[in-house]
Amino acid sequence: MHTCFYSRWTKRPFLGLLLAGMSILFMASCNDDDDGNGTTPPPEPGLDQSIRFSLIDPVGDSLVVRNFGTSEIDISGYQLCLGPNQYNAISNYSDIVGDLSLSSNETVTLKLGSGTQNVTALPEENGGLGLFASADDFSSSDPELLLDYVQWGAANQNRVDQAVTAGRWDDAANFISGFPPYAFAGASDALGASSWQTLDPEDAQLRTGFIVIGSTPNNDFVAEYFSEMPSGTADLTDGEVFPSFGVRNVFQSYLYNNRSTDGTAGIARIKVDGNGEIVEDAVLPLTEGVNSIEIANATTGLFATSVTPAQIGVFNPISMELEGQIPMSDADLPGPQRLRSLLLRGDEVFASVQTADPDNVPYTSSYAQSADYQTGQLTATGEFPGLGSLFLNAGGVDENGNVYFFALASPPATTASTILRIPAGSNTFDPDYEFVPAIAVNPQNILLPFSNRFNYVGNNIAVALAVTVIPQSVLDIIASVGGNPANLTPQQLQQIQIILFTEEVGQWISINLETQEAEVIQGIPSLGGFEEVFSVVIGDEVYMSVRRASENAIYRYNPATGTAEKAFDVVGGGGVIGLVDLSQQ
Amino acid sequence: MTSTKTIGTLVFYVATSVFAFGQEGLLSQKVTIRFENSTVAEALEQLMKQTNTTINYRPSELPKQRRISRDFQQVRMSKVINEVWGDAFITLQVSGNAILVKPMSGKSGKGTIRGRVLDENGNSVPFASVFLQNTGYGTDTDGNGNFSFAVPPGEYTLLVSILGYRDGGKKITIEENSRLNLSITITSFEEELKEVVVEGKSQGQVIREDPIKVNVIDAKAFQIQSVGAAEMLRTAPGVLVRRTGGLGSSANVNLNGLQGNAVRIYIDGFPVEYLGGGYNLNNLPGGVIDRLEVYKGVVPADKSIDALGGAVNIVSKRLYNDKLELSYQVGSYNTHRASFLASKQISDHFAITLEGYYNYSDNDFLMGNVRNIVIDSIPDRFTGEPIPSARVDTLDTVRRFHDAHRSSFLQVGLHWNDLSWADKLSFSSNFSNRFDEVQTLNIAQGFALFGRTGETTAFNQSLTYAKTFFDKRLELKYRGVISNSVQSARNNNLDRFNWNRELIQRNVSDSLNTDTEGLNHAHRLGFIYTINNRHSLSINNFYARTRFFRKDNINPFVEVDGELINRNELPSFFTKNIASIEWRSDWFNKRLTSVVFGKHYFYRAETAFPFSEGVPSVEIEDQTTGYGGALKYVPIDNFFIRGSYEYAVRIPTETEVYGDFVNIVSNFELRPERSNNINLGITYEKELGKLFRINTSLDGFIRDTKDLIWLTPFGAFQRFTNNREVRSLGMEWSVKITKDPYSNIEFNLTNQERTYQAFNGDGLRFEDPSFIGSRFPNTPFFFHNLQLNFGIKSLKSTLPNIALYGSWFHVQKFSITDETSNGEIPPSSLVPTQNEFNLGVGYFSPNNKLSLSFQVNNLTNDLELFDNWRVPKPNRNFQFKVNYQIF
Repeated sequence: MHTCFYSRWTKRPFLGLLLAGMSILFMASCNDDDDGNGTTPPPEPGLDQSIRFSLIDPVGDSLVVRNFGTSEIDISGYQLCLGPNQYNAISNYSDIVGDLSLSSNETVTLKLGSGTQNVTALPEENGGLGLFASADDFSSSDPELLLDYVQWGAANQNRVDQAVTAGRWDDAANFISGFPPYAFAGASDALGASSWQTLDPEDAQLRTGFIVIGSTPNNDFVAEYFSEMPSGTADLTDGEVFPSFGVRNVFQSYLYNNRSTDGTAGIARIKVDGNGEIVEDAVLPLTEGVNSIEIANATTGLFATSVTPAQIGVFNPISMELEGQIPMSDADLPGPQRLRSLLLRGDEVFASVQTADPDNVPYTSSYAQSADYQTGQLTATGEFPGLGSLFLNAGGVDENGNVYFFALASPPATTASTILRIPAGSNTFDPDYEFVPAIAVNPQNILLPFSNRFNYVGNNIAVALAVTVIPQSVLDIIASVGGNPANLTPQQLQQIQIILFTEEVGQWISINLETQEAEVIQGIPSLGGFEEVFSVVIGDEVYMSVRRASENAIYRYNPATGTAEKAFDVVGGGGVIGLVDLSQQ
Repeated sequence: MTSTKTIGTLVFYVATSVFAFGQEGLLSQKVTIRFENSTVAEALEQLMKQTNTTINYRPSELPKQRRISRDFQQVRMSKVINEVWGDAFITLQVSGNAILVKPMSGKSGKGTIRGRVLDENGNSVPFASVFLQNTGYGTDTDGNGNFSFAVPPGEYTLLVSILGYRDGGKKITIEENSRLNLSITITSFEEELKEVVVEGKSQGQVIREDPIKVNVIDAKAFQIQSVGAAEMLRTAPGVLVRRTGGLGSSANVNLNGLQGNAVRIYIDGFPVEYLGGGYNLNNLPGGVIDRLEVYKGVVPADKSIDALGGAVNIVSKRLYNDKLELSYQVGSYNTHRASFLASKQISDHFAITLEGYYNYSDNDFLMGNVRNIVIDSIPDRFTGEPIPSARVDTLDTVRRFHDAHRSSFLQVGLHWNDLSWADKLSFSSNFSNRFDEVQTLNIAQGFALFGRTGETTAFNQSLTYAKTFFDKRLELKYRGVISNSVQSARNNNLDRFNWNRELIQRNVSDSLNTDTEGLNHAHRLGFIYTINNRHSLSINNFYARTRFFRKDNINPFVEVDGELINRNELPSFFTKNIASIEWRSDWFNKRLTSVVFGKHYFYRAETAFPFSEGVPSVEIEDQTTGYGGALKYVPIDNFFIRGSYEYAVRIPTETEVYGDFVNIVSNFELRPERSNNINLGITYEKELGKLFRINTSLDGFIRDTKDLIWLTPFGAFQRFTNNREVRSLGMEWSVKITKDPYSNIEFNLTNQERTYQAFNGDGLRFEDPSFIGSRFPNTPFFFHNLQLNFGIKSLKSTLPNIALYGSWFHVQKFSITDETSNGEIPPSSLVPTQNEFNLGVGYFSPNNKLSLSFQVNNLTNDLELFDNWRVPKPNRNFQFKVNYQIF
């Protein structure tokens, strides 16, 4: 896990060092015993310490060690200890910023991370961390062995009694309380929680919880944080109002929005602070609104705008700085080429191309390009001939590497919303894969086989909102011209449009991308076929919005069981248009 | 009808008065003379010698016993003779350079004439000469415009004279021992004769006191100032003019909370949208305007159109006889505004007028605290080559650019009067052109547009006809306009610049060049029938048909008969017809006035339809009715109560029905907007001592709007729906204290709440009821303005030589986004409290033909003044203006 702190603390040297040294560090497995009974008599409190923790970040899984002494000390053999069977030698960490041989006042930053060890992270809620001089005796209370100790979140952690005995902590009942990271602010012989500073709530970032987003009558945005998934009714009355709040991605509990919350161009990073307030944390300024954001890892984020010559921007999602461009121009493409949606597959980024342009001949094909974001090279331009659309949207990438795009119905170029596929291992469209889910649900729906909000869930299953219900009044009109829609007069077409636009003809459907079958998800009511809805995958379930005259709710669908039920209603913030799980990385 | 008849009569009177005044010149001559125990004969002899005139009289008729000792300083000759003669009644007749004094016989018991002289704004006119034509009777008004003098019984013509104003005139009859109370209105020279005096009230005053709530803003009060129509309009209570920049920028009028298409703008009673687009509230110079009439919520039948929230009628200034007026203003940002008005009376029945104006401004004013994107260079992580990287600076001050405005207007008019078959016939033809560089509407973006421009050229022909029948009981009025216009929009430069004028991004959007050609013809026909002196009936009909099509560089995308066509190049038609009937009545000796009216709205839209084949046209038509009424009650003099109501309607526009075939889809079920508009208020006027007069009004209003047309998300698209009910509830208070036309103070305050009332939706979409009762966004709810005018004049002058004027506009902070029920406004949505101060000084030449003024706008140089959204207004700027009436 990674973190970054943009706060008043960035002015402080120790945190600056931390920020400079963020890297992944694996903790080696513990190979030692459990607690022993220390026999060394307790030293006097306030014992001078040379090597101490100077920063602990249980959320970011990192720590800083500092040499408070005057002589150089090699800490490579020192051990971190969280408790029984949770030990690791500092030298086993690979993500280290600084030298393990610390001169006076020098620091070294260690980053915990994934690995094969039994300890890969610091406990976020509560924990106690000891620093031992060696692996000789983790049960020792000898201050020569137990060099430092910190506990947070709750009292009476595993090694606190030893630490108190050793004079490395003042009281077993004391612990650091507040928002991490915790920064040591005392003298070298200071003891206990009072010597540690925590972040102000405004500077902190909550890593768990949910944000529910609503759209007000004026199409402004209301967003409110909930520490738990709402149930019953989510009330957004106390939410914050923003002129813009277009979430394009979530990474490390940050929301990456397509514009700043005041509507200005640029990628905005949003966090939830310690008070549960939703705040704009950082902005990558741009000259154009962003269509799509994908984040590969802590060092590489990718975004697409509509500028030409087409390019994919590369930025660092932690520092929020632009770092590169991937040129996507392809002379073989007709007209100005503007990128719309991005998808990631391994080291590849796929981009759909805006397929109709008012300044040029409308595209009669759908196009998607791919590039290697490690090398910054365009690798291919795929074409699906004969299917143009105003909007070619990203659908998702399945577990096998199949990439799905979704061509929105936009007459006359495209009269049916169609799923297209770039197969695993390929960079071009499968010419035989052209799947219209609305017709798969209702073969009678040849008049307006419209679907929208395609979202890949997993195991070949996707969901979308589709026009599935053809009112009898429409069928009657068609029947009146011999059942052939081509015979409809403009007035009849106008009549049909009125009916389809004003009745609840839409339903959430489940789509099997492999078998090219689709079915209505039972348990979710019908709604307008062109409503502004969304779906989001959280855990094994899909949460999808239902916004109709009598209801403003989010439903929960389990693809494994095929069941759906209402998760909660939303009030006080307008029509629900978004749900974000902060813990989803 | 009564008033119209009176107009005609009074025109004759006034014309007679003007003629008579030429002969009366000798009697009007100001004399300074001192008598010391002189007989009447000695005094007259002394007077003749000193003034080099001849005074003829019969010595036998002299009051021989009378002696006079008096010191006259600058007193009218007629008054001097009258005083010399003493209590005896005399008449004075002028012949050449001689005055004949004739004692009146058989009369006894003088009557008293008393009254007050007002200008067309209802302000007192101090120190005016009031006298009876061809007599020596008269006096001067005091500081409050009051006068009183005794005269023998008889029939007279009362004349009033003061420099800078046209004489009023009134035939009066004095009975023995009677007392006659008069209210006399005089107007400044440029005022149209026919509109001057209506039973002692100016046209503006008559409108102001109509049962239908109207604010009248007299442009003459602003004549010396460097202001245009928009600046004048914003001084009215309950009115916000919401501009998006400097001179010529778009101006949206907010009347009692309603704005946009809900408020119609007229020029001389004709909707501006049918005049080709060359006009704009924000480019009409003050020099061509006579007055602004602001109809709030309720619009009379003779101005009927689908004005949901009211209308602003800009009445242009008209000249009669031989006149030529010039005005020129120069100021900051390379601003130049010139206008002229000329008229030539060719014969008794025919006159020619020529008028025009020209505006130009770079609009390169300073803006403060502006986000500015700067492009740095960083090494590309892949190639190491430098690539641009944006950085945001917040600049304390930045100069706006590429926002110039240029507009011009020229009109020639031919006017016939008093023909056997027409009381009035006018034909006018005008040409207008405006060109605008378009700057970004959202300054907060941090970048500027450079290549977007708009230009509109219009050519209008107008015919006006009026004729009365049946002893003037029936009046027919017609006005028709044919307008050809071309509106061009160019967006050739697809690059973006920062506020340092540095290129920051190329090819941000596609070019879109459009030429929209429109051909409108619109007609208003009205009949007013005066049933008797208490009742009148008027019937009006407004018909307009618009044909337009657009040439652009968008490629064909509508399939017709298997062929792709550009839908925009197919002509579209929009037809409106609004018929109205109105009944006006006076009751209880005119203490109570009532107005009831009904309106019928019809519209038809015809346009291309993208899904149709073979017949690329679809017609939509609808009709509905509206109605309303007004009552005014005058329980005591100088105080009245009035209330008005209208069930108002706004017809959807074509785009609202059909969409734009790109991002906005059609909604054939769209209904007209409707609104229940209610006004209720009181007005009171009182003299404060001998010098001042106060006029104050307190009005409340309700605007209960149903089926508000609103752009609503619709899947990946948008469409207009009728899913809002919004209510404006508020009050406005206006108080004006007047000393004279050049010294007064006026304060207007408005407190209003515009809130969501219901979300009816379209039966499909959820609308959150928790927002019911919350404020409608981007609508100020508390604002006021203060106008100060102070005239300084020398002792010998009846008009001020120096005019000082100032204004203060205050708008309390408000949100541009919706507010949740917790009422918090995020900083990005907050428009802070606004305070704008303007100050000016002007000079009048002694003959009032020349005036000069110097004006400072935004005196405090507040760089964050906003009219609309958070778009800055011009910073402190200086304007110099000269008006000159050549003849």
